[in-house]
Amino acid sequence: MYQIDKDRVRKILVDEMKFPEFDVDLFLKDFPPLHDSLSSAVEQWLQDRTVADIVVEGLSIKDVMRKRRSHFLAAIRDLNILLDESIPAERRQRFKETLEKPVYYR
Amino acid sequence: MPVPYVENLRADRWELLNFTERLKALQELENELAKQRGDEPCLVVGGDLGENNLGRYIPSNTGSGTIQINSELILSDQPYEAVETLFHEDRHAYQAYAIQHPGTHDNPGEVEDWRKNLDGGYIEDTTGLNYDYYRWQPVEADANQIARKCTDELYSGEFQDGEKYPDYRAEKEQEISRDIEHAKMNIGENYQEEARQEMIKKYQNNLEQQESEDYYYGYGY
Repeated sequence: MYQIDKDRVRKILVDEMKFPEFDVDLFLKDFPPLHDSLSSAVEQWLQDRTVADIVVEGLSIKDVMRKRRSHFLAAIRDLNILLDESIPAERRQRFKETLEKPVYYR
Repeated sequence: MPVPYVENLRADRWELLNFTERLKALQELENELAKQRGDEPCLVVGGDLGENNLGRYIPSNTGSGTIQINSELILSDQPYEAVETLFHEDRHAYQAYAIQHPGTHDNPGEVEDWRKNLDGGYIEDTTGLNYDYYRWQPVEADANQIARKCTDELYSGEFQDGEKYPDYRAEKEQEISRDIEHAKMNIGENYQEEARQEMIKKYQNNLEQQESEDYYYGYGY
């Protein structure tokens, strides 16, 4: 498993991206360990904020980010669920379907 | 309270109307909803809000607020999403009214949550990090639930719309199931209470910050 460096991520999100501290801490507080296959994409983002064109279970991270209007790290956390074999396959499939659809704000 | 009957919101009437007439029908619905709570109606306007934003409520300190509905919804030949969004935004106006007028809403605990939520505790998702907390915080969970219920009462109940509304309704129910599934996976089975607790935390943080600023500038204590 790959653990993100929360202090480093926090610094990037707060100091560089100017995200509110509360939002960042809320996001990071329960951020799970990631499947090893996602580590290089995260490392690349940590280096230069490039979003690698990764595909998990047929879902592209860029599609997830666009449809759900989500941040790269939120999309990574979502894709990580699809790789978590401790979750029943049927539930992972259902979760995949949620990631294929847009979310709405109002 | 019964859902107001506005004839031009029927799907078969709506599709014959132009943009201005549709907006007028939505304004008529808002006028009736505001009248039911004894408030001034919000001004209903269309707006280019982007792909994922359906609408928003803009409160005003000097008078009634404004409800903006994504113009794409008003241009659609199906009225359902525009009407559901109007119900949602009007519910935010109701929440604000209930905070200012104790006794309006029959659950004081809920009103207290709304007060904290709207007074520094609101969790936005402009960063794309916290959709689940945004979606399930008290004011949004309530507005979504009421809007769904009222839209159902209007189209399944009053209008007896058995032609296109059932498909829309099925899609909305799937959308809610997806939001629940996403929240359960990311913030846990008690997602709604979890979002509420974080809202309270944010409210308290803001309050403490405000108090320390008042102290620093010599306004308090």
